[in-house]
Parts: sequence; C-alpha cells; structure tokens
Amino acid sequence: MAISIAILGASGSVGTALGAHLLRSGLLEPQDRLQLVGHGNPKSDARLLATRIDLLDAFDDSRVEVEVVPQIADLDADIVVIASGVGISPQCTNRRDMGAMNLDLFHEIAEQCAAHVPDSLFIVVSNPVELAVQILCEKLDRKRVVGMGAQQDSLRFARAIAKNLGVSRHQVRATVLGEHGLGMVPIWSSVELTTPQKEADAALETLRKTSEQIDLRERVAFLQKSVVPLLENEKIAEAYEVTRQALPDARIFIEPFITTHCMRSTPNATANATLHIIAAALVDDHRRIHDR
Amino acid sequence: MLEGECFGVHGAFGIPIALDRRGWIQRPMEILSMSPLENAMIEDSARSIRRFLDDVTAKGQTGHSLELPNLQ
Repeated sequence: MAISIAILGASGSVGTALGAHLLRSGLLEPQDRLQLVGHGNPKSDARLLATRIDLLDAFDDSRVEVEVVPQIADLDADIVVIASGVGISPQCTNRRDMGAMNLDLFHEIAEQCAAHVPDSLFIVVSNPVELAVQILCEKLDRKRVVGMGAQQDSLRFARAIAKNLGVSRHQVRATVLGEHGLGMVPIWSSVELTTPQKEADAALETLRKTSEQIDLRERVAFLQKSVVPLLENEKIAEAYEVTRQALPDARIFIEPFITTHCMRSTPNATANATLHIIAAALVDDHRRIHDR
Repeated sequence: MLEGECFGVHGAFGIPIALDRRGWIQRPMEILSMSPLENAMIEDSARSIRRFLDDVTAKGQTGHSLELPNLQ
C-alpha cells in the first residue's frame, strides 16, 4: 500500500534534512509520495521546487514521488510532519520568545489540518513542541498528534551513555520523559544494555551511582555556567570539551545548546529522531529503516 | 496530549508510546520502575510545562531571560 508523507516547513533546515533522511533510509518505496508543503506564496514555492530537484538529483533511484504542494488545502497525506515556524536566531533566543512568535502559525496550521487532513497522523517537530501539540490538539484528535521531543532526548541520552561505556547507541535503551527543554527527565532506572556485557554493565552501574551523588539540576546549572562564557567568546571547541567531561544526563542538556548556538538548530539529529517515529508508525506496513 | 492517563498529567508531556498510522497509545509504564527522585522530577517537569504554556498562551509576549533554547 502506497504511503504519502507530507513535510510542512520543508524548505527549512530541519525539513530539508528530513526529506533527505527519509529518501536515503529505504523507508519509502516506489510509488510512495513525499510532499513538500509550502506557505502558499511564490517565494516558498520557488524554494520548494529547487529543494525537490535537489532531492531527486540525490535520491531518485528509489523512485519515490517527490511533489511540491503549495498549501495545506492541497494535501493528501497519511502522515504530516510539522516542522514549520521560527527557530533560534539572534531575534529569538529562548523558548518563550519562540512560543510567542509561533503562536499564530500553530493556530493556522491546526485550523488548516483540521479542515483538510483531519485523519492523518501528525508528528510535531516545531518548537516549542509542547505548545504546538497543545494547539493542534484543540482542533485534531489528540491520539493522532505526536510530539517528537522525548524521542530525540531519549536518543541523545542513549548516545551519551553509549559513548561513556564504549558501546554503540543501539546497544543502549534509555528513556527521557517530560518536557523537551530544561524540565526534561532522564530516567536512569530505565537504562539497560540490549546485550549484557560484564564490563559495560559494571560501568553503567558506576555511572548511575555517580549521577545520584549531586542533583541533576545543580549539575546542569553548573555546566551551563561554565559553557555560556565560552560561547559568548566563541570558544566552541572548549565548550564542547567542558561538556564532554560531564555525566551523560547533564550532557544532553548542554550539548544541543552549543550546537544550536552554532547552527541555530540540530537538523540531522532532529531529522533522524523524526525518521524513527515515522518508522515506528509504519511497522505494520513492514517498512524498515536501512532494512533493520 | 495526556488527559490524566499517565502520571495524572493533563497536557503535552513526553511519555513512552506505541504508534501506528491511526495514532498513539500509552506503553505500559511498568516497563519503567522509577525511583522516588525520578517521580519528583516528573512532577516538576509537568509543572514547568504548564507554567510555560500558561505564560506563552496567556500573554503572547516576548521575554529576554538567559535560558537554554529549545533542545532541537
């Protein structure tokens, strides 16, 4: 059965990265459709037309239909990924500003989606993710709306632990719950190795116990205090190095902070986390990422 | 968006879910046996989200506090 996935905000850095990740993952098959959705204005359409050709030049071997859809009213998608909105910039330096600036856009997207594609599955990538989810759920079935923040944070937590243990991320199961921001909760009690190994298990237990010695919020605040002056002086390598020495649960707060300072977003990490959510939604369709 | 089915939270909150094309369902929470400290942090996180959403949706104003940006 052919599948159609739409990306709102497809011309942005995260949307563009997601298009590439989707097409190179092997998740989509010939006759499936990837819809790049614009804002209904010529500038947006032009950017998307160029993005489409760029993606086809790179990935057309898969014979997935890549289409430009001028506006939500023209959509016909099983899954709608919402990656639209203002991100971090010199004019928007925190979640509160971002929320205020994206508020009207989120309401507009919710209205349009409810009117034209109410039965799709909605994956929210835009930030602040909790705000976007709340607004979408005012107009859409809440069970069809999924924010991807906790998935991304969980993947980061697993990677950070794996790095300390000297194993691959796919050998670590880890969960982060709650807010996609300063209030996120890394759940050490959930962490486990998929293939138990004596040395790594012992190292994991040491990490877990060390993390209990000082409150996480204190450790994050201390790390942030060390990193912010380095960022203000554009000492990026030093900022990453200071962060690297922290425990995994604190690292996942600050490392993306540094990356966002440099790149204004984390396009590949976000696209990868979103890809995993899409793959989870398509398991019953026997779709796999890279045949796994 | 929870309606009290997990941790008693009403609102947007990251929890373990199972997913298909029709939507999400909560994954059984017994997969996580959380410590008292983790449970307390969950409550703080829910309060933090609530405060943030109330602040943004009620006022729609911008602020300039030094805080971590969204963790995309």
